[in-house]
Amino acid sequence: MDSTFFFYLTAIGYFISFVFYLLHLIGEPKGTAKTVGTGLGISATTTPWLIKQTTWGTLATWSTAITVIFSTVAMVLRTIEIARVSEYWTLPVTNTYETLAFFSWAIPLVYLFFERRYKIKVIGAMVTGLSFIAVALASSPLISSEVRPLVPALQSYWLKLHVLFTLGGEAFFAIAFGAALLFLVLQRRASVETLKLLDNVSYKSIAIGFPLFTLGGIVFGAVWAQHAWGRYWGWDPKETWMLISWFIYALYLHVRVKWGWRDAKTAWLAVLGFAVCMFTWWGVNYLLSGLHSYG
Amino acid sequence: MSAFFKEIAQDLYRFFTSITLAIVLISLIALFSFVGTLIPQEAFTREVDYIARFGFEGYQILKQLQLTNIFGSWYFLFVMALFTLNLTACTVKRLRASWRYWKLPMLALSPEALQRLEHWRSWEGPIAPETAQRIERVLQRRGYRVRRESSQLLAEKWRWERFGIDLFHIALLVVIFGGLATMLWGFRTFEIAHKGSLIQLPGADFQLRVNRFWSENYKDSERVMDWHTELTVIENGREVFTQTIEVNAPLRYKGYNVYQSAFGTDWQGAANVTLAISRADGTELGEFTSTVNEGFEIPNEKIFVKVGAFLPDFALTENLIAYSRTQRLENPGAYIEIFDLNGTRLMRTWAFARTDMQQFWESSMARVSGASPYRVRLVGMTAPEFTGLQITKDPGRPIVYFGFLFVVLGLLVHLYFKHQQIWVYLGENRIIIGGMARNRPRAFVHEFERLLKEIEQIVPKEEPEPCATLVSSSST
Repeated sequence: MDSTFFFYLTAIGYFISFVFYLLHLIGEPKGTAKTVGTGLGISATTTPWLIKQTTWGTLATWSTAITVIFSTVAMVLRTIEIARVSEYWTLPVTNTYETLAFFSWAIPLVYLFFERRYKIKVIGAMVTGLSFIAVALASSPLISSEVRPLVPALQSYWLKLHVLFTLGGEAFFAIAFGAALLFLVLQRRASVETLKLLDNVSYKSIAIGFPLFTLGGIVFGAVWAQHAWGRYWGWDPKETWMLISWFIYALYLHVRVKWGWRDAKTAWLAVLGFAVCMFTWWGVNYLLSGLHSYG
Repeated sequence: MSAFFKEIAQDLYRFFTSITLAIVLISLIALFSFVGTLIPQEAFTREVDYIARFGFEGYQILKQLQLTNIFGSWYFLFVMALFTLNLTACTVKRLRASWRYWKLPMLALSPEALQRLEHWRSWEGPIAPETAQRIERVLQRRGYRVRRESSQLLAEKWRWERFGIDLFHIALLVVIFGGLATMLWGFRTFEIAHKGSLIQLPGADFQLRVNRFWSENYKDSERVMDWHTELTVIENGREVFTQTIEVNAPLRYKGYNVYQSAFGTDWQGAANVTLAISRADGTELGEFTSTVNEGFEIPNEKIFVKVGAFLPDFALTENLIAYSRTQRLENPGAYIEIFDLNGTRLMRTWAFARTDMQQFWESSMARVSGASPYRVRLVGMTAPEFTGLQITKDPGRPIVYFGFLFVVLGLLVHLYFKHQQIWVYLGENRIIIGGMARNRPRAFVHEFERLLKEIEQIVPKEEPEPCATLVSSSST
């Protein structure tokens, strides 16, 4: 069995989790002050759908956890496959296929931590949805899943550090995006407690993601660029767009602290920041040309 | 007069420390960067590619507006300079506030004030004489610095965290200045070297000799694994040392860095072309070989043939400038000039290897400029391999790395440490403990609870322990 098989399993798993989370989100009654983060009562029934309360949410959490295990297995297998072809041990983050897979592995992992800590399951639908899109896109015929040996420029330990931290940071931004988007969609529907919690989760994940992103994107990125290309900074499209997304998150933190912006305004910034991150990742590879076109 | 200048200075300070200015500047930088990635930049784009894409007129306009080199344009540099000033001013302002905070003494609080804190608890009952000391020890074990003031213990830790964000901003400035140092006093060149080439670096008292270079493929594969170049450093005619560099493993010597950055076939610089030449009437004159920028004589015919250029992938721009679209051998073409022995040019043409191109070119030339005396075809071409070396001098490197270190440290301190203060009031028959953390992070609740658990072991247990929330609601 190869990693591709497990990535298919992962895609199916995230889809199932997504459905469970969605049922949880709309099928369960509105949370009260004590049970913030359970359903939002969109279905407007007083009794939960089909089975007893919290079951959908529990199912969703468990299926996500199991899928993360599949995803981990797939990542390990992929690592071994690369090593076999390249005779070089590295993380599976060397092309678009692998970075997508990595992303779909990292987001739910980070999310499960948030769910445990903040007892907020409503973001689950956004998160597993995103992960499903990432891994489904990777498994689709649009992207080659071929294991290719590493090109010379990528044979460096900086690859691992740079991508691990940058994508790790972006996984947190993805959670922030999920929470912010949900906030914007449910602004007038959900309880104040849920909205506050969404806003807080969005802020907390940016506060964790920002140092990771700074370290991975700016610091390790610049040091590696210096090491491989002979300059820290060259206004390459990838570098430039990374800087733009870094600025947006810096702006987010500043307006929150300095101007006391909250809720919808900062939610829009979190959404914009993630959109720019995605453009840095995708748009730059396919629409703009530059040195950094690995994935 | 001095009051006037003071007012201006104050206005300037206010202007440069405003967060609005920072946000406007950040947005502007983001906007320019956005434009700069939409329009390919000079640094990695050839003139012909611009003309091919935007047309000649369009290219002139872009160039006038400095949009082809936006990151070096006066307006971008101006915004960057303003941003640096803004960052500096904000850092100074913040630093002063942090300094005041640092100097702020921790004062004893009255029992009433302690009960107004968010986290507090009290115990009642007879107090053993050594209780204070034992509590002090518990606090010290948890990393608090404890001071006694009359009947109170004043404990605090991590007051310095307030400087974390200042450290971060200062470090960002250090990185910017390191980059500036590299820009001003460093340099960067790209050298295409052949076997045996000697490279003289500007300002350096040594030379580099390229001994050999090779490309290594993966086992049973066409894919490149690595490129290597063996270099010898020569100083005053003496060989100092020899080192083989590869991608991601540069040579560093006396502040210079030599990177393996490209590898390939040097078609445009040093191709060897074979031409088949015939008279217009069809008489074959034979096949001749020459290197680019050189030529050969055909003595019987009394002509000199010069190979002016070689393009591996011939293409024309809108205003008919020939360029090579790629560096692969897709549509090779050689620019040929034929002179008589007095040096008068008889004709010039392009010779192609692809027959369709050759026919197309000959028929269109015949229509434009009439019959030409000779016919030239491109029948063979070889080129030596080259190694591409990026050579840099980078005086800002230690500064930039130093800055990076503190960018990360400062950010971590700011986000994960918060100044914490604990007051222990020791009354006749009463102990009140109150605590707070700057910006009141959630995590402090856990810290406070853990601390209380330890202190509970020390203080009298007979009395009921009022829950913090219960007491505070009943006392108001």
